[in-house]
Amino acid sequence: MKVAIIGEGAREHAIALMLLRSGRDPKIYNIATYRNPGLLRVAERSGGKVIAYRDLNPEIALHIVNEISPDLIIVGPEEYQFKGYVDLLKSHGFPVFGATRALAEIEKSKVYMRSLMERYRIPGRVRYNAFKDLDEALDHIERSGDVVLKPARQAGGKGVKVISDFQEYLKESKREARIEHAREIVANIMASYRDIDYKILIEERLEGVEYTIMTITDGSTVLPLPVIQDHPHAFEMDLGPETGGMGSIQGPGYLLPFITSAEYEESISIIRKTIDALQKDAGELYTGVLSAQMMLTSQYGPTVIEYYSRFGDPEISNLLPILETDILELFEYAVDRKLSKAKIEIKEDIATVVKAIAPKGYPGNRSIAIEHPIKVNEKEIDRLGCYTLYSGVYIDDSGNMLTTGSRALEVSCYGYSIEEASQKANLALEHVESLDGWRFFYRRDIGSKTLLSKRIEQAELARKVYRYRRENDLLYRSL
Amino acid sequence: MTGLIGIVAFDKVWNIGRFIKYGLLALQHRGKEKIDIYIGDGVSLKKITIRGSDASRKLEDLELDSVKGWIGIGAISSTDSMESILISREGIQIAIIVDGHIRGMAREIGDRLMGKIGFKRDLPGLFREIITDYTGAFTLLMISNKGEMLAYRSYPGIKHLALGGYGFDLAIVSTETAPIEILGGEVKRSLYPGEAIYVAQDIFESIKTTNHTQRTVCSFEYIYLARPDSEMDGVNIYEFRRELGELLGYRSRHKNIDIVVGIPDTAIPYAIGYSNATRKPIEYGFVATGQKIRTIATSDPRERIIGIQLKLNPVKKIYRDRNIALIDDSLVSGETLRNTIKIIRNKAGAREIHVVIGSPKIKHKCPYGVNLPNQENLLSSKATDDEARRYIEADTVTWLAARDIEEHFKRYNLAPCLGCFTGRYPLKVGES
Repeated sequence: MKVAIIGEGAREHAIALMLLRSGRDPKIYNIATYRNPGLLRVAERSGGKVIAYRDLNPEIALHIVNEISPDLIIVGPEEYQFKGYVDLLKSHGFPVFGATRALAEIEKSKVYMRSLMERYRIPGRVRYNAFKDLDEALDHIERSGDVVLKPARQAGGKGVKVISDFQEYLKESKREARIEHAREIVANIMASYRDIDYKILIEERLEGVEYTIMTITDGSTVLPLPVIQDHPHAFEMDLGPETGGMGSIQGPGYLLPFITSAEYEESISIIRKTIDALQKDAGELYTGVLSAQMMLTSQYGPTVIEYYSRFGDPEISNLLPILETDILELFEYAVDRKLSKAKIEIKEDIATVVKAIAPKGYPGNRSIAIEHPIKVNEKEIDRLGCYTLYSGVYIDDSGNMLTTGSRALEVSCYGYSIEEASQKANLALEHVESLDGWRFFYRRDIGSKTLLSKRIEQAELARKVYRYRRENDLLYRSL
Repeated sequence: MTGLIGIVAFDKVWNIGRFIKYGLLALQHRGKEKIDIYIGDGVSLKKITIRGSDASRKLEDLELDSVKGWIGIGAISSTDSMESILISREGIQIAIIVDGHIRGMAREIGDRLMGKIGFKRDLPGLFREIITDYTGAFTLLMISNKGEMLAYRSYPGIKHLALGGYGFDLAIVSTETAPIEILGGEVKRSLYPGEAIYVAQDIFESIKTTNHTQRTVCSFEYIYLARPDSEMDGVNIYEFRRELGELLGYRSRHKNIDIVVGIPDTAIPYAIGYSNATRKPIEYGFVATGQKIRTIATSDPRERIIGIQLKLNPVKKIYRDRNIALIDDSLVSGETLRNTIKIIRNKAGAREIHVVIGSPKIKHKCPYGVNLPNQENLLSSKATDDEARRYIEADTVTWLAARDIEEHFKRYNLAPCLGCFTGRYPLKVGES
């Protein structure tokens, strides 16, 4: 059978690698804007190929798909969902795994997500205000304290600003930074998007520990994957600017040491309620992945930070070493609306750690981070039992591997403990070589004992507070 | 003594002037007569200098709104062991602040860096090359007009430097951890001895300059200098002091004591420990007037006396006809205790006064920049125990031994410099 994957990141590479294991020997076709070296190899090995167009759009994709005539199409990245690839391909009768435009609104518009949760009174929601007008937003900022500023639309993870505001003596500086940032959101980040009216979302600031839960759904059955934790800070010890994720940890089993099974269950129930509400609102059924970026907060307990209408990256790469279920079967069951027949099985005795490596300049100054040649000794990485997943690199006409300015690649490793897997990932990333002397960075501390015990400590603190607040009926109340 | 703070914002929307200001104010217990601040915006560096006995007060009044910048370093100091310099050459500017004992070091390092910087823009590599020529007890902060910061803690770590962060927005380094928290940040860890940290908006690197892992820390820092809400090399300063107070308490359980009083503010943790161990109540013995003055961090002798008198007005009632355990963290010139005892014996009517000191006898100078009086003014250096006791007019005086301090540090897997107690120093002075 033939499977087409649309998208070109490490996420699509990870999906392709898992498809390759399927007992049904799918031929894998990759439709993309550039040739990801990893996808290129998987496609060729499966007997498929990569079709890359720099100016890919839904019509071109439809044209390519018509040529291939695949039995299943997976639309990976959110932007492709927002642009209606899924809708167009579905309308031509193709079986597509991925959220349609209306359903992907849950990720695209952060305002829609908040209002949906509010309207349906879904637990895990937060207080927020949304603005179409900069001046109105600035006016609000003048009057508000401890808040988070977000672009109203998903912008590749860019533009979120969390400014804790407790010290009266620093208030003025923080107010200035917030105003400056709000201007930046409107002038730079949101300027290029024509598909949304809202500009700025202002949310109450939360405190706690973040985690991700990815689910696969056919609209009625929701199958949850294990809890995974991403690390958004660019640098060691959770320092530095926010990135798309420098690495993630998982396991062993469905929980992480700082999330209880009750909190996991509660989070899944929030996701189920959201899917129900979303489907009611959009008037269609959800086929694909809904991932919740959650935080165990002092304020509310399990709380939704953001929703993704697709697999998280790097989180999906944590599945590579543990997923035992045939992923193709899962996708097919979802598309056929028979997901109730499926069961997700994972290796529960191992832990996984994914780490990304990025060129200096990422994420704040990408113009200096592009076009740097690298060499990856994949044999050595294989020997450590790790997977190599390519994301921000492409192969030029002379066969060189060059950076695109984003995270260049990820390794996904496993061990009997998170720590062991982390150490393997560190060793694995030693085999990535910069050929022009440009600096690359990754986080050795992800999955370390020190960081993990810090998370446990933070989670225990949050747990103590939210339980107190629940017992005293303080949630969503103000005096 | 000096307090340092350095801040890099990862986003240019920030003006970090106020953060530097409040960071330095949180360090003014270390000295407050010399303040140097450098602030950069990725293009150029600006300098702010404040001098005088009221420098920290001037800093409080300083409006930093006119100085825009997202990277900066600052120092607040009482001594000439703090040096700072701004060097500009061919479009490159660097500002360096050193808290150390090697004369002219800031300028020398600055000149050496500038000499090579034109050829090679790899600042961390260059810094590593140069800094390994200097051994001693110092910490160094440096920023460039290109928006880079270097923070260095010399091996074996006699002077301390901590690293912290504020969300996705700031990296903060500071002599102590308390300023990081006061700025709303989160403390990450202490720098390793011999570690340099290089931070710019798009890079963070830890640079090792030695393979040795020994840590030798300043015992005076733990006993007196640092704020009790700081942590150094994983040790909570308050706990460290309280435990020493407990040790002293266990040893004097036989004494006939009615109440325990600590001399504010530094001795309070010792007094709490002493009271815990002796099971004698601790009393609130003194009330301070006005701004807190740290007698040792003031070099003007008149200021010192004023400081003592203002901070030590006794709550008379508690002393009358009682046997007092009067706890202080250290005995330096004896002035403070002599004054205090006079007040509580002559005016408040205490019966016996047993002085308990949370440190060993201070007999030697500190070559690494802690302001101690000259040897001839150190009471323990010039006087026998009994002479010292009679000078301050106490009934008994108890000290800790240098060995006690060493043992106590062992519990935390640290080795201390005990130079001011023993005269034996881990490093030669001016060694380079």
